[in-house]
Amino acid sequence: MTLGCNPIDILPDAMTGAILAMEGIRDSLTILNGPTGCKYFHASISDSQYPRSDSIDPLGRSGPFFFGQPRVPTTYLESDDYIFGSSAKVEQILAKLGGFNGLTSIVNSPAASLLAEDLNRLIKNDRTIFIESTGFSDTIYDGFQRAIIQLLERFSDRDVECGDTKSVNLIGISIYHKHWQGNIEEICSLLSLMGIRVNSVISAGTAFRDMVDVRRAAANIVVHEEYGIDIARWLESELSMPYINPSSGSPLGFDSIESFILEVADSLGVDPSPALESVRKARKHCFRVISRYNSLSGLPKGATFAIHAEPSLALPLVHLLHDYLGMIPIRVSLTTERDLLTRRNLEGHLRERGFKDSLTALEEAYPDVLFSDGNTISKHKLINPLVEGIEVSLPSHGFADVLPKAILGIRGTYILLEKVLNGIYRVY
Amino acid sequence: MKRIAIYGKGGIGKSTVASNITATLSKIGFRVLQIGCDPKQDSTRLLMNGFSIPTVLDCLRERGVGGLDLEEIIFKGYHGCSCIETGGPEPGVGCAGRGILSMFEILQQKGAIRDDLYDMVIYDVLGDVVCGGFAVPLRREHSDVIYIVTSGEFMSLYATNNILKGVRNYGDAPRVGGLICNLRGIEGEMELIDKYAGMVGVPTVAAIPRSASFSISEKDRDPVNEFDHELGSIFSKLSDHIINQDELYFPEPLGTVEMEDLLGKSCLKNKVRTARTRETKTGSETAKHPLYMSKSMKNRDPLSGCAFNGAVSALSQIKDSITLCHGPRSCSQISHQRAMSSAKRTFSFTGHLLGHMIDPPIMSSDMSEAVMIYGGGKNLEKAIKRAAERRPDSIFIVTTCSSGIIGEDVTSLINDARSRYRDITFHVMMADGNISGDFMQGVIDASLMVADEMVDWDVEPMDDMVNIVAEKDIAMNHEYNFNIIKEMLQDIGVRINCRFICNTNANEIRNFNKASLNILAFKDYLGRAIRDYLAKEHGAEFSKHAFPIGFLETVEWLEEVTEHFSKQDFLGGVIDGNRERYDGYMDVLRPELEGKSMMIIAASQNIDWVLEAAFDLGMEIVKVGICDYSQEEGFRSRYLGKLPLEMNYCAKKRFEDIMDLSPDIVLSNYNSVGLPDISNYSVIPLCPDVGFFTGVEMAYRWKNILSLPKCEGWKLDAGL
Repeated sequence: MTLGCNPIDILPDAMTGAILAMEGIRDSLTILNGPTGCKYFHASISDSQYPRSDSIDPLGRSGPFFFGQPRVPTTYLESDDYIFGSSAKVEQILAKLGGFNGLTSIVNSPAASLLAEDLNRLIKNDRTIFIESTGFSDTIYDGFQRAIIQLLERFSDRDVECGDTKSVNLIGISIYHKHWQGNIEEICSLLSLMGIRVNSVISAGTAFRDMVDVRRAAANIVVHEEYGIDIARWLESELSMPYINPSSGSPLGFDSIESFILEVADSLGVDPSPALESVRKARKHCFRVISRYNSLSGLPKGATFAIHAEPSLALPLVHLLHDYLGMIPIRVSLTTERDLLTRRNLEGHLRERGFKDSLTALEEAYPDVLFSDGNTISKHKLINPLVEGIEVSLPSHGFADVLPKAILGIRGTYILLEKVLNGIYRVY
Repeated sequence: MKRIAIYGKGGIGKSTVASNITATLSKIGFRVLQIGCDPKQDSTRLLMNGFSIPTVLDCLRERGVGGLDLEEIIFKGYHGCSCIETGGPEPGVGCAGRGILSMFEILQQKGAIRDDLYDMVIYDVLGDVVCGGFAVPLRREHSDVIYIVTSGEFMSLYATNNILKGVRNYGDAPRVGGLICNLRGIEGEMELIDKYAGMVGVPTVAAIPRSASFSISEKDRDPVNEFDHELGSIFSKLSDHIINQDELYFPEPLGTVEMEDLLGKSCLKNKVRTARTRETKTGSETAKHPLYMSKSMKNRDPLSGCAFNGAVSALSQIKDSITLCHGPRSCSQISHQRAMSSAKRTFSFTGHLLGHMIDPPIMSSDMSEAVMIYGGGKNLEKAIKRAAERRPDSIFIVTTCSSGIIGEDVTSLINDARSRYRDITFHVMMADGNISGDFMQGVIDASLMVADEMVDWDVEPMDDMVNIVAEKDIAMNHEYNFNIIKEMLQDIGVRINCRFICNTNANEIRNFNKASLNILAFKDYLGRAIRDYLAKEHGAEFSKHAFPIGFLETVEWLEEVTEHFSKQDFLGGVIDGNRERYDGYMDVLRPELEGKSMMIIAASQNIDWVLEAAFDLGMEIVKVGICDYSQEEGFRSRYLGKLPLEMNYCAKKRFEDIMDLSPDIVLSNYNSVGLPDISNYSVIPLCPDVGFFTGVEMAYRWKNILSLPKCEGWKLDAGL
C-alpha cells in the first residue's frame, strides 16, 4: 500500500473548468496558451466526452500545436517564452487556425497568466475570446462559471427579445458531467411534456450562436447548482432573466424529478400533469421490479451507501437511496465547501433523518454501494473489494459506453436503480 | 471618466506628481480615484495626510476575493479624493507584477471603477515596464492616456524609452499624452528632454522645477498647492491640460544607437552587454545534469509534457514517501490523472490492480492567487506539516512552472522543515514545470536525484541479485513484464533487489547497491541516460541487453545474465524447453501465414521481434516505414539488409504505399480509419510484452485477422 493522496489535492481545478466550458460549445476550439503538460489531459477529456472527429490518429496531427490530439491545441510554452512572452506563438497558432469559423477561445494556463500579456491585442475578429486567468487552485466550478460569464458578457446579444414565454435555458451543465448528452435529453423530454422548449444549454453541446441568443428564453433552469448558480445570477442581474434553482437538486430519482417538475411548472405557469404522469408510470414499473427483488432478500433496505459527489447530485441521491429504497447513508462527502442551496437542503435532510454525522469525508468507510467518480471508486476497491462502485461523475474508470445512458431524469433513475439492485453483494 | 496612467523610473517623483494632480483636481470638485501600483504602497500617503492605508493584496491574502469588500480597500482622502494602494510582496519574494494584474481583476469583479463614481482615475505605476504585470495599466481597457514622468538624467530617459517601447506593444492607437518633466536642475536638462521628446514624437506637457517645497510637502503631509503658489499654478495648468487633452501620440522610441548618440556612449555600452549576456541563457542550462538529457531537450524539439509531471511520476513510485507538488492544484491533479489512467487501463486490459498508482502518494501545496503574489513559503510550510503527519520516510518537493516563474527558492524555504521533522528526509526537485525540460527530462532528473541523495553507495553487493532500472509505468504491461522477468530470473537462481524507480520503497532504494548487476527495462533515451549516469557517477554495472522481446533476444539476454552470475548450468534447460514450444507454435502458424505480405509503419525503433516471427513464418516484408516521434532514437535491426526500409516516414504516404503494395496486413502503433480497405490492419504495441513468445502471440493475432473481412462494418459508417 502507498501513503495515498489527499482527495482535495487531486480534484480538477479552475483551469479544467474554464477549458471544458469553452470546449462544451459545439463549434468552438480552445487554444491553451500554456505548456503541453497542461494540454494532454484536457484534450483527452474533451475528445472522449465530446468527440467531434472520426479519427484520433496521432500520425495525422503530430507536431506542434495539436501534438497528436484532435482537441485543445497549445502554444507549448517553454522556458524562453516565460521570459519573452507568448505572443509570437499565439500569433502563429491563430494564423494556422485562420480558417476556423467557430468560436476560438484562448485560455491561459496558470503559468501563462503570470506573464500578464495582453493577448487581446492579437485578436483580429469578433469570434475570439481571451481568458487571461482561470484562477489558481480555485474549484472547477469557479473556473467554469467565470469563463461562461466572461463569454456571455462579451458576446450575448442584449437586444434580443424573448421569443417564447415557455422556453428556458439549461444552466450549469458541462461536458465534464457524466452522460451529459443523456442528461440533457432526459430534462428536455420532461420539459417537452409540459410544453417547454429548451433554447440553449450552457455550456454543453450548444452552438455559439445559441449561446449568444441566450436572452431568447423566458427563464433559466439551474441543473447543477455548483456549475450554474453564478451564471444564473449574472443573467438575472445583467439581462434581467429570472432563474429556477431546484430545491431538491438535479432531477434524479422520482422524488427529486417530481419536485423539479412542480417548481418549473409553477415558475413558468404550465401544466405539470403530463410530466408527472410519466414519472408515475416509471414508479409503477420500478415498483414491480423492486418488490420482487425485495421479497427474496429484504434488500435493498438496510444496505449502506456512501456518496462522494457534488451537492446537486448528492441531495437527490440521498432522497433516492434513503427515502425511496430505505438504504443507510454512512458517508456523504461533498466536492465543494461552498454554501449552496443544495448543500443546505442536504444538511437539513440528513439532520432530520438522524444522519447528520454521515456528512463527512469518505475515509474509513465500508459501504455496500459507493456513488462517486471512477478514481475514488478504484481507490476504495483497494481496501473494500466488495463495494459496488457506481459512477455518477468523472473521471470515469474507462468503461466504453455504447448504450446512450443518463444519470438524470427517468432513464438515469432506471440505470442507477438497476446498478444498485444488481450490485449489492452482501447477504443479510 | 478619463483614466490616466503615470509611469516613470523609480524615484523620479511619480507619486508626488500623481498626488498633486489628484489634489488639484479634487480641490476644484473633480471626483478622482488614485491607485498606487507599487509594492511600496506609498503612492497615496500625501493624500491621506501621511497615513498608510491597507492594501488590496493584503486584504486578498487575508480574506480571498469573496470576502473582500470595497470599503476595506478604497479610502477617502484630501478633498474627498479616493485612494487605493495595490501593495505587494516583500522585496525578493513572490511576483509583484502578478499582484498588479490581480488587483485589476478584483476591481473589475467588484465594479469599483465606474463612470458614475469617478471623473478621473489616476494609476501611479512603479518604475520601468519590467514585466507584463507592471504593463497592465497600459492596456486600453484600463487606461486612456499615458504620461511619463522623467528628468534629463540618463537612467530616467532610458526608462522613459523603455516605457514607450512597452506602449507600442499594446496596440497601434495613439495613447501617449506626453512627458512630464520633473527637473533635477542639471545643466541643459530641459533642452535634452525636449530633444528626446522631438525624436520620439511625444510632447512635453509640463516642466516642474526642483523645489524645497516638495520636501516640506512631504514633511507637513500637505499637497504643494496648499502653500506654494508657483508650484500650485504649474499643477493647476498640468491638470487642466490632462482634462482637456484630446490629441494623443504614438511614440517612436529610440534604438540603441540613437540613444547612444543622444546620451553619450560610455554608459550605454555596459548596459547593452549585460542584456545580451542574459538573453543567450537557455532553459537547458538550468538542468542539474545537462549531459543527461531527454531526446526533446537534446534535439531542442517542442517539449512533450513537463519535467514536473515526469518527476512526480517517478518519485510517487516510492510508496512510503510523499511527493509534494508545489504549485496550483491543476498540477497535482494532472499528475494524479496520469498515474490513474495508466492504472485504469492496466486493470481494464490485464486485470492487474496497481494500488500504488490508483492511490499514489501525491499532495499539493495548493498555490493560490495570493501565493503567486506573495510567494509560497507559508503554503508550503502548511503542506509539509500535512505531509509529515502521515509519517512518510521522505518528502519530495517538486516545483511547478508557477513556482519557477515567481522565482521561489524552495531549498531555503524548507530549511526550517528539515530541522523540525528530523526523522523525515527532504528532497527538493526544482523542475519548475517545464522550465527545466519535458516529461522525460523530469523522470531522468528525478532518477538522478534519487541516485545521488537516497542510495547508500557504501552498501556491499550480495550474491545473485539484480536491480531493474527504468521501467515505464505508463505501459499497461509493465507489471506483467516485470513478473515474466522475475520468473525467468528465478529459473536461473537470481533475485530482484530493487526496481529503480517503480513500485518500490525508500529502503529498497537505499540498498540499491546490494545488486551487482543492473538490467534496463528499455534501452531507449530515458533508459540510456539513467544507465549512463549510474555507471559513470556511481560505478553501477549494467547488462548489455535490456528486457528481451522475442525468442532470439531472450536467449541472448539469458546467456548474458547467466554468464554474469556463473549460472550457465541453468541455461540449457530453460532455452531448450522454450525452443521446442516456439517451434511448435511456428509449425501451427506457418501454413496460414507463409507467403503473406506485411507492411510495417511504426515509431518503435526496435521491431526485430515482429520481423523475427514474420521471417520464421516465411512472410514477406514489403515495406518498413519508421516515424520519428518516439522517445527512442536510432532504428536498429539484425535484419537491415533484408528490409525495404524508409526512415522518417510520414503519415501522408501511407495511403499511396498501401495502394501500391497491397500488403495482406499492415502493422502500425495506432490503427487509423480512412485507410484503403484492401489490407488488414493491426497494432504493434509501443511497449511489447517481454520473453520468448512475444512474436508468437502477435502472429496468432495476424492469423486470426487474416481470416476476417478486410473492412469491418463499423468503418463504413465514418462519414455518417
